[in-house]
Amino acid sequence: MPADVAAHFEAHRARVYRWAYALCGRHEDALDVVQEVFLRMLKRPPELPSVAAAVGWLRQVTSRVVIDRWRADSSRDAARRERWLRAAAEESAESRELAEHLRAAIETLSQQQRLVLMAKTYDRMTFQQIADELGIAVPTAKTHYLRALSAVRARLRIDMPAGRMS
Amino acid sequence: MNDEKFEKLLADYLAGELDEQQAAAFRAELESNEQRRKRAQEFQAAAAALEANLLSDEEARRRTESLSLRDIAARGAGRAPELSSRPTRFGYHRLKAVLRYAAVIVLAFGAGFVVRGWRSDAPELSPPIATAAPVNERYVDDYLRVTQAFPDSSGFSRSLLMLARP
Repeated sequence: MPADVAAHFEAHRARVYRWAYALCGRHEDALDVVQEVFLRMLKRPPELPSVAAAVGWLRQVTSRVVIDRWRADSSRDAARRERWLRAAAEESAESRELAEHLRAAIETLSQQQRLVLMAKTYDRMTFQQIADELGIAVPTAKTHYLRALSAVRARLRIDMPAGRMS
Repeated sequence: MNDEKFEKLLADYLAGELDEQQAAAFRAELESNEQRRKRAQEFQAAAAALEANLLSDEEARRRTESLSLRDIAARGAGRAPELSSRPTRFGYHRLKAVLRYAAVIVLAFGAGFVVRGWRSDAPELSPPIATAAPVNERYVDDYLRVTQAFPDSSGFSRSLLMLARP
């Protein structure tokens, strides 16, 4: 087993789980995603100069793995329903519903929009850092972020009554 | 402030990337424009919904403690993970199966010996006596006659002579 992959695993497994859980909303799924991400790293270790530099690569792979799972789920609706029923005992209806809405919203985003959203919301990176990591312009990163929020807003049917800012 | 500039500032505002002076100016803009205020509030609600699915780093670490890279590699290789908490489980089951087969074989041999021993106590039966085939006396007389008449003849010659008898 490559030593550098072991180092990445120790340093980043909680982070990958956190992303996966935020995207999937379920412990079981998030654990599966973590395993799949590090399995991909084991199969094709990236040329990473340091543990810190692996974060961008891991974020991209996590996003792809989650989307792959969602697409596979869509083509296996029965299996997906069964998994939801299994999870029902563990999680509240509200959190399940929220997770499902977020999932539907995030699924509609492009890979770059998703990555910007993850980096901004889950890792609190600045737009400049995100732009540097993804190799895009700062205004583009901001546009991706707003589009991602817009998709979530539309999915959750957030419609504020006119009034004063809180 | 045109719409494009408003959008860029909105992204910075939501991300907390405006300094105090910029933030105050932006809030003033929202106070003066109800449509923009409503839009900002909706985006804030969307960002809050995304954050509701976030776990703390501590919780993510706790939930991934049980994961090991070795198990993940084993899963990738298509075999069951050999967890350190149950190292002898597979061996134990295999040993149990072997012992079960061994017990069946021993029982079968034992049963064989018992049956064989019981059979050997029984009185031995003499082999059935084969019924003698009826002898054609005329053939015997012919054979003796030919043998006496031609003592040096071969068996084949005697057979021919017997056939040629009147």
